Amino acid sequence: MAAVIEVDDVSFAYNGAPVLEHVSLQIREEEFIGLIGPNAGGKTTLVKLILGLLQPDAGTIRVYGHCADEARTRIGYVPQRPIYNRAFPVSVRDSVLMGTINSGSYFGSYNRRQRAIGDSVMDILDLHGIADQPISNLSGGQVQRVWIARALCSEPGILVLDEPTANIDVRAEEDIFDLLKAYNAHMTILVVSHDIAFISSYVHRVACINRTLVCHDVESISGKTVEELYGGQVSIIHHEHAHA
Amino acid sequence: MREFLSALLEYDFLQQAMLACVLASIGCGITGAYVVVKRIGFLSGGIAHTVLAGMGIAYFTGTDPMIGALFSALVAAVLIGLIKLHWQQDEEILIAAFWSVGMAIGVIFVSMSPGYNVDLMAYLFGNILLVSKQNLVQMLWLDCVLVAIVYVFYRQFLIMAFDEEFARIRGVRVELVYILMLCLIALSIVLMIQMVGLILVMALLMLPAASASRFTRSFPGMIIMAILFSLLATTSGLALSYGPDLPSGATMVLMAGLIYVVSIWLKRKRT
Repeated sequence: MAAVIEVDDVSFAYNGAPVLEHVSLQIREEEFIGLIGPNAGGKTTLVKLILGLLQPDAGTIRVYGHCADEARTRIGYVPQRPIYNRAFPVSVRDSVLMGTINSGSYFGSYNRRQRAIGDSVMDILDLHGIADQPISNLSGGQVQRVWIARALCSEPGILVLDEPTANIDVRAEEDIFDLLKAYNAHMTILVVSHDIAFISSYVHRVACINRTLVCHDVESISGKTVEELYGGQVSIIHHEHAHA
Repeated sequence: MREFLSALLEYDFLQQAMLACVLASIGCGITGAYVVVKRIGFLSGGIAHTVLAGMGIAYFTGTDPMIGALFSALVAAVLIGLIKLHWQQDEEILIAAFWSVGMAIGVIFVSMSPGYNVDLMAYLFGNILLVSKQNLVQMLWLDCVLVAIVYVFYRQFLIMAFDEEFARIRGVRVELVYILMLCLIALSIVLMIQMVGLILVMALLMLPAASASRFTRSFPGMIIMAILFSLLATTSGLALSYGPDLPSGATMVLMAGLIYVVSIWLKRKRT
């Protein structure tokens, strides 16, 4: 299948400190790919490059064959810790509907179609009961579902989630990944995670990133116990980096 | 209070002052809500104080100081917006520089003009009783422009104020929308300068909106409540100042502060 995201030999440094070096990654249409790696390994940086929020120092990134900042409206993004003012008086419904806003959204209100999308997404994420609650009243897991709903509201072809389950319990984590699996039938999904043990039962491929990137098919790592594998894999990456 | 009410029926200048309270409250309630949720009080303070440069230069050259105020507020809004977007690491220093250098320019130009003492005080602390019919018409125009722009850009302002990064991903032209928002704040500062002066303007811009945010669950609700709180603060401040002949800008700000304290006390538990 066609590659919807093509990262080709990308390097990026923050103020001279290299974060990514010669990273290449092709993500195919309707693929479910996990991006894992240690803290400060460059996971979020790679996501921001794909979204066109950062520009690579070297190499190119194409999304649907276009520049990243031209194509990013076709990506639904669920940030890790979105910076927002908890005192902002906005309801769950209003937050979710923000996913429909774009550069052509003039005048006060949403049209019927946008409201219908919002309603259906809130149904799927079980947010209808709290639709009129201010988001400042919600728990961490509920807020996370609001961000996912907001991203789905923009009707994306690609969904990018940065640690979507970092602050929620295992049960809720399973619910969210089951939902993602269902959406994966017609949507490309890239999920950043620290928990390979958990995501390997959902994703097709795992990309391990620690300044450089190595890809693994899930099948090739399924024989051993997952716990061992995570530890082993991380040490392999460290080893490779030591000789790089 | 009774004295004030009978005077209100009798004197044109007081009726005009009341009307000015209404017109200023509409503007500052709307933009104040954005200042509070976007947490750009310091930026807005920078814009407000830079206004003195424009007023001083206009006064010195014999033009209408309000035109000078409008011009310098808009220039300051655009420049401070560009600083915020492109020189974030030096943001505080640069805005502080705008703040005080703008005031210094204003003070120098006003001092070079004859009879500066009285006028300088009016710019710094306002004098609502000097609001003319012409000023009221200017204020009405500013309000119309403000309401029209907020109506057209409402959703883009909302998403930008709530989550700038997400707005960018949705294709919203964040830089443009951000600077437009600062320009609206500049307009509302000019609206209020005659009433409370540029030193006290920040209190009236932020306190009613901050009080409103404690009582409401929606952003439009916050705007409406901020307008009402602002109206309450300005009119009661005006009434309070009338009898003992206190400076009305100061009593208005005191009332806004009182409303804020009461709102905190009533809604202690909500964060």
